[in-house]
Amino acid sequence: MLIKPIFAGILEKALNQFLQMDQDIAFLLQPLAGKVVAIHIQPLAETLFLCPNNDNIQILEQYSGEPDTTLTGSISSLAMMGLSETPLQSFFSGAVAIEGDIETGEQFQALFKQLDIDPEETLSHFTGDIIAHKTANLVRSNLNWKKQALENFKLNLTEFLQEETRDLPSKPEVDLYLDQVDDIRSDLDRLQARIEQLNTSVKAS
Amino acid sequence: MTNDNTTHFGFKQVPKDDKVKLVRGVFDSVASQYDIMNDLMSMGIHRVWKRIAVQLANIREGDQVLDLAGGTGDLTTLFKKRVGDSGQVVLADINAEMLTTGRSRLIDKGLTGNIRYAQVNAECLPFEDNTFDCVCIGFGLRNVTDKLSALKSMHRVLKPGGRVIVLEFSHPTDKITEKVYDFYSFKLLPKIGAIVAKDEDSYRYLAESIRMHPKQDELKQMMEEAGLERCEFFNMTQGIVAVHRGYKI
Repeated sequence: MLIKPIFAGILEKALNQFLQMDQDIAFLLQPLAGKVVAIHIQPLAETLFLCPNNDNIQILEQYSGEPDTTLTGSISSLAMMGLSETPLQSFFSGAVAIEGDIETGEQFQALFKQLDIDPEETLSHFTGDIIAHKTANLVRSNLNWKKQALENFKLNLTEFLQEETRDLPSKPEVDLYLDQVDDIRSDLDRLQARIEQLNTSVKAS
Repeated sequence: MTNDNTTHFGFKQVPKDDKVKLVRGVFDSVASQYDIMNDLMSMGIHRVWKRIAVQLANIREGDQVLDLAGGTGDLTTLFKKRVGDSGQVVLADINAEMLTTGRSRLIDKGLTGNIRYAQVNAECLPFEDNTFDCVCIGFGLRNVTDKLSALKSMHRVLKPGGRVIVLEFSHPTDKITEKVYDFYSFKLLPKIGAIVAKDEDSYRYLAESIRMHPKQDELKQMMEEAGLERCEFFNMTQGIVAVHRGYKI
């Protein structure tokens, strides 16, 4: 099928565009240069070969040699592994299988974690520094405002439900109630123990 | 029928020894206008075909690539990007005129260093055994007199694990495309050739030689006969062009 090589080509282009957004990509790729990582996507039974070089990653749809590392899994589990904070969990849970040189696999995974993408820098190539900085500031302040607004809304909602409508108890009330429940449970346990003790002494006599 | 001493040149039968000269005549006369004509003839799609062929070649950085019948160096430009600084591309063509045009063009683009140029006949390649990771022949195989010995020669210079990529006009897979394509290549194409390159005959030859080229399956069989393995082909634009790929194992 022609779809696979075309897909590999597009993916290669997209991945490298993304990687180039990090200014230090050459430094990050250096330890991986010359290695071959095979990614086997399970439900489709298709394999792509990722070959990092000094400044980009080539994606091949066929490779006649033996890859250094093979990662096998579904698209989602592989993506999760690439993005998650604890990639080893994917291996232990069995969602992703790794074969061959584990260090290469780990370095490859670390590459995506180390990426430091600075959209402002990328934008500045097209618009110049001043506009890029202003745009980035605008986006940042916008994001901050949204975050703040969400936080405020959460606080207001809690306060309203607890203090105004009294539909929900406040935290101290809940704590007190839970303490009382705990006390009663302990009392009950002690009482039960006491009854059992008395029972045994009655039977003995 | 072709007897042992003649071969086809377009729809004509000519003595085998003469085909090389005749093909040379065609390409000598079209060399300077070759790129413009390619764009006109294929309406620019030849760039996509070439890109897909390069993708199918699965070239890695550091690979050694032979671009046979490389002409004006379109494929070499794409290969050079993929092999990086540590690899090497040899641009080879039987036609000195085309090779010179190609070399000037690549130098003008600033592509130098690890590109080498060689005037060779594909039937008897002057390279050592097991030299290249990929041998590619783009729109050239149909002009070769003895295709089988060319494929054998390509197989010889390949490293084990290397692949041959044949990008060539082929035969449409459905009737409608075939009709449109026939009309286009026999009626329109020579006219465009006459106006742009002022050479109707050469472009008539191009159209005829495409029809005489083996069909997808036959070429695949021929590649297997030459010793290549895991041979497969990919049709593009309804089979007007096909990429054949085979490995030396």
